[in-house]
Amino acid sequence: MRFSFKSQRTLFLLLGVGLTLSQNLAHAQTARELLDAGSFAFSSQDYAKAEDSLNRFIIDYGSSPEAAQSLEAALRLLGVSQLKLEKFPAALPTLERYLKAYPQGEKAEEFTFWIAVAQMKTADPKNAYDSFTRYLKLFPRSVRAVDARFSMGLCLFQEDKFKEVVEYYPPIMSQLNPDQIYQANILRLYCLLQLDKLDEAFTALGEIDPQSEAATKVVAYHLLALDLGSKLLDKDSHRQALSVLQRVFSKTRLLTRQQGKLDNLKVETARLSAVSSPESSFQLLRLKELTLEVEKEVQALEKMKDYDTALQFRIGQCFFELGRPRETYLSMKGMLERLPDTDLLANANYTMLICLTRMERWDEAIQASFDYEKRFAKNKELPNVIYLRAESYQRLYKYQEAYENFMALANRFPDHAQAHRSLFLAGYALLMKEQNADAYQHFEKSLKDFPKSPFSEQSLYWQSMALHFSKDYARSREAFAEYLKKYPKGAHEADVVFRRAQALFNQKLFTEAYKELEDFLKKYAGSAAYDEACNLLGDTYLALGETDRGLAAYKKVSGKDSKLYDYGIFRMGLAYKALEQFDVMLGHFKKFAKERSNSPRLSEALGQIAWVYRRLEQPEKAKEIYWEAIKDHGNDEEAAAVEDMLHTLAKMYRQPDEQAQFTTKLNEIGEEAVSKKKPTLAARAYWMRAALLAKINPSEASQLLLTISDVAQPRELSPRILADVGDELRKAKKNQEAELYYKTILSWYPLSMLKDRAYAGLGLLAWQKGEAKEALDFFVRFEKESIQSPLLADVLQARASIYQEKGKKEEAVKELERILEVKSAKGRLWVEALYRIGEIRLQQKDPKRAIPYFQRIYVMYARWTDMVAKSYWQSGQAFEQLEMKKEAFNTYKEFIEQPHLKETPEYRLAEERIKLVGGA
Amino acid sequence: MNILTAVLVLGLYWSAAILCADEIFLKNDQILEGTILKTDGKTITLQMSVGGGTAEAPYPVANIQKIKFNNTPEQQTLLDSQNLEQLPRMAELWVKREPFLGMPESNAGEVGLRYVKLLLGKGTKKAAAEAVEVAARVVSGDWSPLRKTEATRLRLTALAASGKVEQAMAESEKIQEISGADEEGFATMKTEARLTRASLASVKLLELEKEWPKWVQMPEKRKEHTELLNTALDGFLFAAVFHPELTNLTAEGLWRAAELSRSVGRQEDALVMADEIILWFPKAEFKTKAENLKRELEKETKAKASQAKEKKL
Repeated sequence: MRFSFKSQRTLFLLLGVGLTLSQNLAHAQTARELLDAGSFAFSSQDYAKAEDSLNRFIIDYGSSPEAAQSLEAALRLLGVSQLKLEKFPAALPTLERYLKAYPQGEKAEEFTFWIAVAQMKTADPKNAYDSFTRYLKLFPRSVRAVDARFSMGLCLFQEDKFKEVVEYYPPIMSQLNPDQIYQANILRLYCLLQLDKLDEAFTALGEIDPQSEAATKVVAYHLLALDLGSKLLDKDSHRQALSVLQRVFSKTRLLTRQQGKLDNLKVETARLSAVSSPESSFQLLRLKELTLEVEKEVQALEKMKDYDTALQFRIGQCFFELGRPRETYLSMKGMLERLPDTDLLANANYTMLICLTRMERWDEAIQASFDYEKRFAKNKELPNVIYLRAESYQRLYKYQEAYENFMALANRFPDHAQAHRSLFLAGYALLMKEQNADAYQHFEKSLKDFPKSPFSEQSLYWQSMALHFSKDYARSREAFAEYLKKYPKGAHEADVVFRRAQALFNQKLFTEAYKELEDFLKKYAGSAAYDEACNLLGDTYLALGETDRGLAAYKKVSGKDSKLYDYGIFRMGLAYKALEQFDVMLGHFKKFAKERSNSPRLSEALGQIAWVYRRLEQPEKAKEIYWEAIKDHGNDEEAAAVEDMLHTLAKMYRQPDEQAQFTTKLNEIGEEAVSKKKPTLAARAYWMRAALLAKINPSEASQLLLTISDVAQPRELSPRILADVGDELRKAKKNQEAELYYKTILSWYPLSMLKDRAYAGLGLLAWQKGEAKEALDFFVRFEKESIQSPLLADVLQARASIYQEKGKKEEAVKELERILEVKSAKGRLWVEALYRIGEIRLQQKDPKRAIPYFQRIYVMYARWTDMVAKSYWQSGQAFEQLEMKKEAFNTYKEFIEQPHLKETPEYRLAEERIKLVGGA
Repeated sequence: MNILTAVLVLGLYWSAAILCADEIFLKNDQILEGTILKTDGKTITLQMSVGGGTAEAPYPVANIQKIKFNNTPEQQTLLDSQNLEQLPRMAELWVKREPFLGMPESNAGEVGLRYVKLLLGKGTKKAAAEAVEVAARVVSGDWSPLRKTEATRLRLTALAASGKVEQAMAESEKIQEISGADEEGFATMKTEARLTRASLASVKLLELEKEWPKWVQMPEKRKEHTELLNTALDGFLFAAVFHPELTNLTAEGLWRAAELSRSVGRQEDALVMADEIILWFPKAEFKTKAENLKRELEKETKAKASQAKEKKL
């Protein structure tokens, strides 16, 4: 939006032109009567009548010698009257005649000035300029000199001499009064804009203080600033544009300020109206004119409906062009919150959405897209908005929503530029959801419907991949072949060739696979799939029994991808093993252990080395290898393999004397580590000793684990040790310390497989503290981590207790039932679960459903005598509640016929009870 | 001491004594000097020098036009002090002056505001909560509308500092709505509230990074980290977007954004902010910091580039 300032010019001109008119006035029929009537009307401020009488006097008698004496007064009064009436064309000859006849007359100075003003008013700026020049030459020290100087600039302005205006004012600025300086600066700014001198305009704008007392026509300043900002923006001077636009007031702020200004002007006008002096008359006139101008400004501003939106949008645009998405977003958000809906606001919403995606604020981007659709459903950017929403969902891994939105765009706006891309991405989202068959169908349909789509190649590739992912290798090969036929130099050419070979391998068609792989490696050296192809070729040759060629293939792996490199190394090592080249195998893995000491497969490699030594009947060497590795890596808490090595070593010290030797060695390592300040290694030594004692002497084992907290800080421990020590501390009721150990797992090892233990431990601690909500929350996270965790039964048990405490008995039963599905909990935990379900049913006054659970215990789990006795007793009680005395009697009888249960407290109760029901 | 010196010293003492006397302006134009001691709401008790001694007299509030506390040099030093150790003495003075908040011309509100500022300087949540209370009393009781406005702003700052950032933000928005057109009046308050909120988010962010060093690998923490970072940066840049005329606050916000951007590895963003300060908001304190930061960042970039070049070779 560009603002026109043509109408503003009139306002500026008014400022200089509407100046003083002086005092005194006149009246007739005969010469005398006309003169008297003119004088009387003048003194009565009836200027129209005065003009009429005096004009008639001058026309009728002006040239007669008798009137000569009164001619000066008649011309003077007529001139003033015409000026008062603002009849400038008529005033001009009067003033000129007066000055010609009376160059030294009473009104000579004033009329010389007013001739210039009248010329300005009659659109004769050139002569006006000359007249002001003449005035200043004649009356350089007059009170009106300052107005004349200022007005000369206005004359130039009126003549569209913008360059001259720009140059005219600076040298005379010091001679002007403050409000004229302000006006002159505004004029200069306007002219600079007209001349397209944006840099100078930028400087000029900075020199104007719109907050100053002298700044009356503030709206003009802000409109010019908005114009300058817009022009700078168009010329890509974004930072300057921003600086300018940010100075522009909002409409509300501007209107408020000008309303205040108007109030002040009115108060001042009222004050001056009460005073009567030549100066006040001049000031009053100026005030009235200013008030009129400010009112006009306010009215003009009020009519600009899109002012705020245009301003804010431009500010946002500047930030956007400056590559500052955050500030753009903030600016646009501010607009959306405050301004009414317009097309420009729709653009603001769209721009905001773009910025949110650039900042990867996906959730907010999705929300912004919905807001847009709600507010600006008919705007042209809607398809792009839907596209960005779909993309945001995709980036959040919400593939179902991504699919739906990509499809919505493709279906609702089939002719849109993004329609084909969306259709393709919808299929890709299905692949990401692992809906391979659906993805295949999707691509099939889109290829059929839009064979000339720019995404045909991509669609065909991913359609083939859908078959590949579905392990339908025969068809995937065909599909890939079709791709190669259609796009022999396509973007996926190398990958497709590799996938075809891979499909053969996966179908165990090794003789065909190796040929294609060899061809691939020749043709696509350096491609993304090269290393994977090397490994696959190695595997293919090994499968074909061609070990040497296989080894050669693995050797070609570049090492860019450490996982692929390690894979090749291990496959080579195993090939040497198969060839029984143990020395080579040993050297191979030793080299690996040295070169890839940070590999997650280090422990595995050491295991292979140890295996070779054992195979070569050198068990001591095998142990040595492990001890050396433990020494080298034992103090690195991230080297989780060290704990595996310790366990492997433990298995190598089988005999009692060897076990003692192992313990001694661990003691030595532990002590040395403490003295050498290697806390992690010391902790590992303690931990291993505890593991050795776990079954033989649980309390000592427990003590050793607790000791770890004395030798190492949690941060210095591996996740495995943290979990074990945490559990031990929890069991020892050292809850605060335990919590710290569990939390260290979460904070330092977020990818650890042992997070389940941390969540379980924290949940159990929270439960112990009576914080049921927190406990349940941890248990939910626990289950997300691992459904197969050995701690699952413990967690389910705790969760059942929480539900029971909350009176949610059915939920409790569900949890207990789930314990019965956990195989690792078979035994005591199952028995307890069964018993608790029975108990709950009894509490629910449903003995019929309780009895089977008790019966399952004493029928199937005789080993836990305490639970068996309790179950007999509860079962008998349940039968009694059902008034099934015979069944109750039989249950008690069966119970007391088992002498090994005699010591249980329920046994005696059953004996008592059987007497009471016995008669039945 | 000669006579002249004695006269001079005595004269100074006398004028100081006059300067320090409190004044009560009665509605009958009589002016009373002395020490304003207390008020029960209905009367104000003034202690005056009478002859060689002193006398206390209660004056009905209904007869009083205005009162004026003239601070002693000690009181003035206390009020000008930013020394936190002066907090108890400031609290004492506030307790004495607070009952006179509503009396025209009384400077009780000024004491309240100085006390609030000192409390905020302590930087603890407890002190900030106390500051909220004191500021609220000035808001509700002071006779000066100007001071009420400042107290409103300080109260919100204190509220945010006491940990109730969301409440402070909500209240500042509300005030903005009530004020309607008066954008200028509350721009500072609104911007300060945003800066405070951003600072708190920034602190939380650093705590999260410290507590969860591997937050990058944790989806939940990563999300929390992103949210905190956005809250902080949005808040720091609020002034630059909406109130660049508040040059000090804008420069401060940009500087904080630059620091934070750098600490989270967004060097390019930090450089943009530093340049913004240097070129557009060159406030002395922040300009020097920004120039240093720019130098460091450029050095780092250069080092990285040469490393990359070496690697390539």
